[in-house]
Amino acid sequence: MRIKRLLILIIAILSPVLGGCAGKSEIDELGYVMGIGIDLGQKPGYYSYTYQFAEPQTGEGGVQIQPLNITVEARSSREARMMVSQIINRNPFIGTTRVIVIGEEAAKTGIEPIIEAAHRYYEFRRTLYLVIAKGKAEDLLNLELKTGNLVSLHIAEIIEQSREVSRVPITRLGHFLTVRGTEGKEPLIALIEVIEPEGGIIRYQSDSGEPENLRMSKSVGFKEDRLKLVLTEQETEGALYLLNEVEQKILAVNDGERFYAGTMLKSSTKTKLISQDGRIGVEYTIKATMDLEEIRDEQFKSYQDTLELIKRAEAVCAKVIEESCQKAIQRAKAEQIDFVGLGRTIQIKNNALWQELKQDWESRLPGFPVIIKAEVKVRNIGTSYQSPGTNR
Amino acid sequence: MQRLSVHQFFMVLTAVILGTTFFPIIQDLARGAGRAGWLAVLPGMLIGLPVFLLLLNLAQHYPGRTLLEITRLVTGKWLSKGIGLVLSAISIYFSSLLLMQIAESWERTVQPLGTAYLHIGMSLVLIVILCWIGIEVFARFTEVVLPLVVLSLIITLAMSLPRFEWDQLHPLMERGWMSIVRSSIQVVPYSLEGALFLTGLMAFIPREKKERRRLRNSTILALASVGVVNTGVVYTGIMVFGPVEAERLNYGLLVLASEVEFAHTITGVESLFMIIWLGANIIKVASFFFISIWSLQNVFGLKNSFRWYLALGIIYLVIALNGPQHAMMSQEIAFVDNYVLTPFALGWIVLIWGIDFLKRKWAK
Repeated sequence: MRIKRLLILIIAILSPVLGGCAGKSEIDELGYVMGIGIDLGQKPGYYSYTYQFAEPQTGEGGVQIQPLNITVEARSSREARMMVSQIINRNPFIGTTRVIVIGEEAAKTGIEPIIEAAHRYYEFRRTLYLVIAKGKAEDLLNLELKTGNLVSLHIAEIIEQSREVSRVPITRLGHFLTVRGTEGKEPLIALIEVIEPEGGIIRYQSDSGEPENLRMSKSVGFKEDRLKLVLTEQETEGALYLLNEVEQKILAVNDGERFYAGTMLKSSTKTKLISQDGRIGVEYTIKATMDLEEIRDEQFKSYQDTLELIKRAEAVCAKVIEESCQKAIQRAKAEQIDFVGLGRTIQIKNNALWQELKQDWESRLPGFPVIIKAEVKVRNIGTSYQSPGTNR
Repeated sequence: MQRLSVHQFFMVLTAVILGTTFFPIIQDLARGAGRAGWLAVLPGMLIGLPVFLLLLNLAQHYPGRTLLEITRLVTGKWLSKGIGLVLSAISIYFSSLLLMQIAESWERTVQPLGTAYLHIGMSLVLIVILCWIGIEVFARFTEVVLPLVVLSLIITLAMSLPRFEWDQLHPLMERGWMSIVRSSIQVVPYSLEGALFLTGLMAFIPREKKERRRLRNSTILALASVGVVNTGVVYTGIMVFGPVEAERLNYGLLVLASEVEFAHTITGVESLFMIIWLGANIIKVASFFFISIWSLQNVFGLKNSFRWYLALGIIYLVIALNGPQHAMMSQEIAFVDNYVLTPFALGWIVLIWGIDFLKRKWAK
């Protein structure tokens, strides 16, 4: 009995270490890839892969992360990785990759061949973000940011924080693959661009005069896996409402008389099939609540005015939402690319109808009836109903 | 003679039926019923219930005997030996494939540079020792491992909630009711693997009359529990990947686990869970190892000596390393499960119960 107990104990102890040390790498033997940029190569059939490594270095303030970028031209991701391994003295570890940046021109040729290894090879995490670079991904990753951050990490952080302002679609690798497998919906990916220090609506101080900052406010639409259109900020915003991907958002509206700005706290989009002039269409109803944080109006004087002002603000904000959604729908119809998922909505609501429509959905899309209704409720206008000096 | 309590019977049966079914089940059911695949799991598990009840019924009439021993009593020595040979061949081949799957699941995911020899060899050491010590210790092992397996699955599923693509659930019935019925039938082999193990385990279950009802309830609960857990796995897979991706991914559960993040900081928990799921793998292979050794003992009259366990372990090792690999192996497992193991288990159990039933009837 004692021997048996001993054997059970051995079994219990051995179980967790069954994998042994096979294939292990010491932590300092690994090169941590934080981002991968992919562009078209100079030779036909070749891509340019930029691996951005995080190089930990000890400095005065403790450990600091320095970027190490290596660009190679190869026919595939695996070949590129092999070439990178020949250059650096560490084993590239893909598991830490936060973002894959794809150059605009490369995305136009189709991104499925580009991310082939990413969806097949287990080391890539499906939680990494996909973004499209305006211009070349290599140039973007080689940028020296004013903050000193790694560009890859900076992009990942912008995306994660953008959840609170819902400016761009958040496309993880897994989400992209799921949408690719979904009928009646085309993928939408955020566009990232370099902003110049001077000129434009956003300016910043730059000692070198070189661009040192990035911005994400637009998106790109795909037809299957090929980039086909760049959406404006307003179209992107509208598409996000229609896709029910708006969480929080800042709304700033000027109706000609007053200026309103505030935080949208919650938004939800419901869809239903409707019959319009004997034709089936889709009706979107967007309901949102917001806090009004800025009101600029010299006539804003009393409590009675406030109630009227709130109603006015709700109507104006709803109109702005409807306009952005209309813009997105118009663009989808004009380009015959269903990035707002109208087809998918029909499939969910009436699959039999979708089976009829899907064969020539592209040609039906421009004439397909869509109605958009938005309702905004102001929840709060702050700690005072009056402007300073109102009762003087 | 070793004996199990009703609780141990429940734990062993649940662990063996659950086995590693949570690995292939997302892909299998997404392929069969698309978005509605999760609806097919529980009915599929319960379809196998009558077979278990037949075995429990036989166990009442022949307490302390395996189905092979009952076969000898009911049909005679030679048919019993023939069935024993077929049973040992099926169980050795099938569990060798499952053994290879252990190595493959590690090498294709968290340990690409691991070696098959290491994974298979070390797992076999555990399995041989576990089986040689006996069914009681095996039951204790499952009592420790099964809760961990279920807990790790629940954590994986719960932490996958942020990745849910909520619209992927609809249109739920896009492939029609018949696809769910067909997929339910596809789940039956999972439960019949457990029934095949019960053909031997029935010799070790409680014999008291008062325990009969509890045994039956435990069997229903075991099948339902596995059904509920696997329903959760398939539902989560469909909601996260959508039906098309779920059908494409070979190890959907591992991909789910790889997406688990704690506070944007801790990732890679699937590497930890793989150790726990290895325990489930070991339970599954060990259950077939038991079937192999029991049937060989029945056919050849082998003594319960460690050298036979060792010899059988070596046979497992040779077959696992020389059998079909990778995609061929997955196809082979599905083929043996659906077209060899299931018809054999179903035919054998129903046949012996039927003959015994008729004999009793005529005897009256």
